[in-house]
Amino acid sequence: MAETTERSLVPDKELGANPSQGLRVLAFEVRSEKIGFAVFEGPTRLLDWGVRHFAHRKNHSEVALGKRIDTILHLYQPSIIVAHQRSDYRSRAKQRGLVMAAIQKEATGRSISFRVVDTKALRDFFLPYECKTKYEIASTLAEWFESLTWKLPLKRMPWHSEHHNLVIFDAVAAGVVFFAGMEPGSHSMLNNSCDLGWPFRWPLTDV
Amino acid sequence: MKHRMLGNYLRAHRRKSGLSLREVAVLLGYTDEGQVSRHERSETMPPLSVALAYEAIFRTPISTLFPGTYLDVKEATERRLAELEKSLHQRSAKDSGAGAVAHKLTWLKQRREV
Repeated sequence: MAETTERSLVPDKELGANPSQGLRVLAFEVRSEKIGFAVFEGPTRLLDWGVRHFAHRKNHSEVALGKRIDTILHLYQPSIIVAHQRSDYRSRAKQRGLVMAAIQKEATGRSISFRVVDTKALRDFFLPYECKTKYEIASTLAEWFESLTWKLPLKRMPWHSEHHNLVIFDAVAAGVVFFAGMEPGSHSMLNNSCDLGWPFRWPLTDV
Repeated sequence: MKHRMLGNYLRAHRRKSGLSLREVAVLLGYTDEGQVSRHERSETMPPLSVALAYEAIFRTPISTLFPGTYLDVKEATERRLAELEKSLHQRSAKDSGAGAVAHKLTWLKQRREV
């Protein structure tokens, strides 16, 4: 049972111990005026996370966003950028589309692969873990990644707005789903990502 | 696929600890967080005493905290060791100090095998 926790797989001292084994992935959760990000090195090592806010002015979102994510890209030099494409509601879809396009442009400009994780893949992955709501997914991720536990907000009441930290968990979820859907030795998404489960059974090398 | 190695894992360890830049700066004996930020972004290299302090704070060897730098230094040193070994081999057994040369060559051979 011990192997089902992140700690048993990745003791603290191993962070960065063998970087060549981990594919560095930058996962984004895109909102209209902020993005949550999570940097993975391999499926179980979470290097960094956070939220970046940006102003949404006409024709300026691209520039503003570029500055916001430039530091992260420069610092971690990811091999792949993953972004969660929300398909469950249309509110502010245009703004989110602009942001997605800007991220894709940044990725292309830096020769970084760009992948999209859709909401269905995300839901399908977490359903076997009895996670139906975003909060349940965040709680599960907080268990898997102990360094995130303290970031988990209290469960909100229906009349409360979403806690700003939740966007970080959404980004982590996108990263997790991306890794779960990755076939060893390739960068393709599998349709049966749910069957692979968590923690990952395949060797963490050469992913 | 070959992954680019990070210069250092200072930020990753700091994020994991939950410490702020300011707090780490205080632990290192700096008056502000600027230096720590520059170390994290690999803009400047910390002096040995500060690198050892990072090791003490995060309980992680320097070579693991700075894998990119460590690899560069290691490769350059190995290259120089190979050159030294080559030059030692070229010395004649009749030269004065042949015993010392033989000892060094034995040590270099044993070092390689460890």
